[in-house]
Amino acid sequence: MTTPNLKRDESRRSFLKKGATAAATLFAAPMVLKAQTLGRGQPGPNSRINVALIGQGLIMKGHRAYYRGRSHTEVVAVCDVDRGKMQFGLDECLRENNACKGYLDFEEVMARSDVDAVVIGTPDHWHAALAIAAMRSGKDVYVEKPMTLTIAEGKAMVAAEKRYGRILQVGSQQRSERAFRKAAEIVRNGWIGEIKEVYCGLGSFPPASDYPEQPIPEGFNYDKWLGPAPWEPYHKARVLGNYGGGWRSFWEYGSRKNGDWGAHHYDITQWALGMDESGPVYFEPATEGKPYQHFEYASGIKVIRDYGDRKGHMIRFVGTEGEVMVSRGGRIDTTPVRLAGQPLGPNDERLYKISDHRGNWVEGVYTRKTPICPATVGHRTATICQLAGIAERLKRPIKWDPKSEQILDDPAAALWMDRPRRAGYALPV
Amino acid sequence: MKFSSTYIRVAAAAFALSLGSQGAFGQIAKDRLSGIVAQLKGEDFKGRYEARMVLQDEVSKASVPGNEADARAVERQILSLLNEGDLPVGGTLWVLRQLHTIGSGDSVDTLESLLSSEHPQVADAARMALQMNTSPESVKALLRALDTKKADRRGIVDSIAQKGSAEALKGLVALLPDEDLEFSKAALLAVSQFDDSEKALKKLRETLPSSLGEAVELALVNVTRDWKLCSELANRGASDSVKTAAALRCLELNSRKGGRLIGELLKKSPSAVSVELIHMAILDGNSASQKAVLKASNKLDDAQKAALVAALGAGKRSSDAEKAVLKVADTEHEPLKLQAIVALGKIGSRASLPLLLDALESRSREITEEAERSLGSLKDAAVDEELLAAASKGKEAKRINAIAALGYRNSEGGTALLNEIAVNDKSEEAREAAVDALEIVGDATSFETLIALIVSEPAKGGLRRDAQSVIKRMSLRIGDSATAWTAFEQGLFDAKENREAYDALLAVIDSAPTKEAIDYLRRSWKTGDEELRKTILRVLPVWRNWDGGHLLLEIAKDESTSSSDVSACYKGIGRLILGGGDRDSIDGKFDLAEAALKDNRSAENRRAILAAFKKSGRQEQNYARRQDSMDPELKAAVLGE
Repeated sequence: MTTPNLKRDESRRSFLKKGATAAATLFAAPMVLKAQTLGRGQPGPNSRINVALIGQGLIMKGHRAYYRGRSHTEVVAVCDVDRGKMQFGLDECLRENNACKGYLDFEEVMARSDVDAVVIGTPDHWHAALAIAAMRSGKDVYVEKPMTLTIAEGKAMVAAEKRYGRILQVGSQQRSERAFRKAAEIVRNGWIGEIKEVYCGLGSFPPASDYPEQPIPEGFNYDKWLGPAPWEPYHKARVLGNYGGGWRSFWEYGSRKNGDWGAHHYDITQWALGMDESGPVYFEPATEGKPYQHFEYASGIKVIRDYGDRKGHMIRFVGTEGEVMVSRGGRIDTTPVRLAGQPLGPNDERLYKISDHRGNWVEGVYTRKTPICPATVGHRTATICQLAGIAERLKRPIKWDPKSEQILDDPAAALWMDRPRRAGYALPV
Repeated sequence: MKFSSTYIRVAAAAFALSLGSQGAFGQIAKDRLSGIVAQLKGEDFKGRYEARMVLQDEVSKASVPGNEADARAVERQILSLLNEGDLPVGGTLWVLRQLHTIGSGDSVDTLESLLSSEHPQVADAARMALQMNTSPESVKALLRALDTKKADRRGIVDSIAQKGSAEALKGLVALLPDEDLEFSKAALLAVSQFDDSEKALKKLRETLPSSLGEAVELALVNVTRDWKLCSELANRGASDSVKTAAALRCLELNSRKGGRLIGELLKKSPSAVSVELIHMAILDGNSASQKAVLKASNKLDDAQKAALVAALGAGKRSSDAEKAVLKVADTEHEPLKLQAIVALGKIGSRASLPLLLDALESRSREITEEAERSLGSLKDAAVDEELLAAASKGKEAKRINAIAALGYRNSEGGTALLNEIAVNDKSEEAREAAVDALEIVGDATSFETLIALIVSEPAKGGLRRDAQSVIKRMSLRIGDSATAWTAFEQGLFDAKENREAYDALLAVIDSAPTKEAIDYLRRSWKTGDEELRKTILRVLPVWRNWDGGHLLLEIAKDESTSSSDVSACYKGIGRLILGGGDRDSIDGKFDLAEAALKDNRSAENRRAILAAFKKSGRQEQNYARRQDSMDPELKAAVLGE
């Protein structure tokens, strides 16, 4: 459903869809494509990327501010199944673009040929369906982390990214922070020797609960909010957007802390260990005798969650010849101390270096350059989050073959690699 | 069905007591199961959720590999619960979900009957349980449901699609076209998930209405092995998505012919070839498609060239790729040049060196920054050899350029050469460039170099100032305070007879923030030399740990310290606290502040300390809240009271 908006209703054809003429116009303008400076050029209005924002919850606040504030992007559509939230987002975006429109149904956004790119900030259970639908309709995608809710969804997203030639960025923005990159480069280049253990701090959510049914608020399409997830009666606590719990506490809509902070710290672990095209082979949940969850790579590297001394940091890599501790806010400490400031040599491996995660995606939309966290990378990280979750819920260890991407020797556990979807919410291909 | 609160309490107690009890033949113990059921029926919602988790754990236990008998026993118990039909909808749905894990052929009859449930949610949950059921009977049940139009047909076609059997495909195709457009799309989506659905889809393409044209074509691209059809869709597909996907499928089907097809498309109308296809033809294609794109590169527009270099930069190194990028880079078009420079950093070799060195002199900051980065990452030993040679001899401008490049590269032998140039070179500009480069690639040996420059260079010369600022930044990067102090100690000794040089060195002694340096400053203070004291009062407030603050406090309490210096000491402590970064311990910060406030009756000096806490963050505030004995004024300042 479209909200009334009569001020201006011009159809913007996007840069890419306009073809060479528009492209020449764009590049004739003094635009600098470098991510950090994307805001500094003076592109013409018709060369901007038309962005649609889907899901107007907590995480979208930053996205709205970003895409509203850049001269290379124009927010042309906002969408949410909650009319109040949609209207709030729309009111903000109308300040820059009085042609911006609001939608309650994402299908209408996908049908707009002038929308070049979509930012998805919904709860996790909607990520894959929306991202694939967008790519299928020729739109590039920025999707919040974790990329998916199930392993099968991840495979489908990787296939769609390739099939439709789209640019997809997963919102694992720690890869765009200097300290995490430096830590990953130190590990990758063997400066702390052979890695033995990695300690990650994810924290915990309160347990989920069952709730009595409440009346669905006026203007909220609860059925669509649930989408592919199993039906449950409405209660405001179930749909609440809250970084400390809310919908994030439910396995049905997210992967709890494994998917929340794991999508960041396990992502950095994968990056540092050079495992972006592979993954661990063994997942073990916490048990009575072992109060922590961990997983292991084939090389024997053990990644331990919320246990042991992280020395005041979010992630601690322990190697045979030293350690790297790293956190947000640019904090990095090393043993020996000199490693943190040691420059890379010509033969050292240099990792993808950017400082603006969203800008890197926008740059990719223009140039088709693969962003730092495409679906292939996001899928492997999300797979770890999901396997850790499966082991936690089944309360037993899981063996994983990262090559064939199959759970081994446990047919019942293997069934958890995907979830059936409610009628009307099949996963697009 | 409702239960009395007494019953629920008793059942809950039984449930709690029964935790851990075992049932016969791997079943869930009867009392345990009845506890679960009671909770699922109850009004204690937290308890309901706990019961769900307990049931899930029981199912999980039964589904452990090798526990087939247990799984069947628990499945039977679950089916009994479903067949009894007295669970509330929420409980029924949860029980149905357990069959996702342990449902076998034994479940199919019950699930099929539940497809007709009066509760649409239960019917859909039964459909989902059938989808997850691995028995052959489950496919038949779903197909029968399609015939009888039980449950939501869109869900059923999705479930059938996940099954993937030939029988399922046949059933789905028979449904098309349907008068309900959305259902037709759902069915098409389902059909396209079968590997052997090409024939059926081709037929459907001819018969289905145009409103389903794009959906059919996308489905076909997914499965077709027909080159002719694929190339037709690449040329005349219903949408850009179809055309791009079809061209990529052509590449997969026959790399040689696919490459030729892309070449033809580019020849016919380069502008009509999407940037996505150019990107994918390079990155996911093969040598034929890459050749085709590279051959047409002259005819590409700027957007396509940007896509080309982005793809080449992400691909494998090859001289052809490097040549193509270098060709694109030879442009006045800044954004394009920038992309090309980025790509060269990834795939470039010695051949890219001249262009990157030139780019270092660009007037665009973006270009020079990317050129610096790309110079650093060229993977070719010949680059280092050439730079080391060029930095040592030749024309000055070229030497300076090469020296700067060594600063981005950290080549083996590079730092030693830079140390040497910085101290001994005849060219002042070369020396300056070498000092600048040391900031990034200088190592512990460079302390000696920089200290030598501070000591030996004239006071008004730029090189001394450069060396002073570089040693501060370099020492922060290296973090080797002990080695830095050793070099400083020698430098201070050497400069003993040159007061100006001595002061210049002392002014940056915070680059070696060791206990020994603090002792040295303490001793220096005690000499009573006024100039020295001024320098000490300038350097301690920027000390890199709290030791500087404690020495300031010690000096403030020294009877020989003048009242203006006492005041400077407290201001200095305030500055140190204010500038303390994340690395400094919060305990240390508060210890210093409390020590500075203790027995301090001067309102001005107290203010100097307290002012540093006015913009305290959450971490400081939480810390202050936990401290009962903290100076009340300090606590109030931190908490903003």
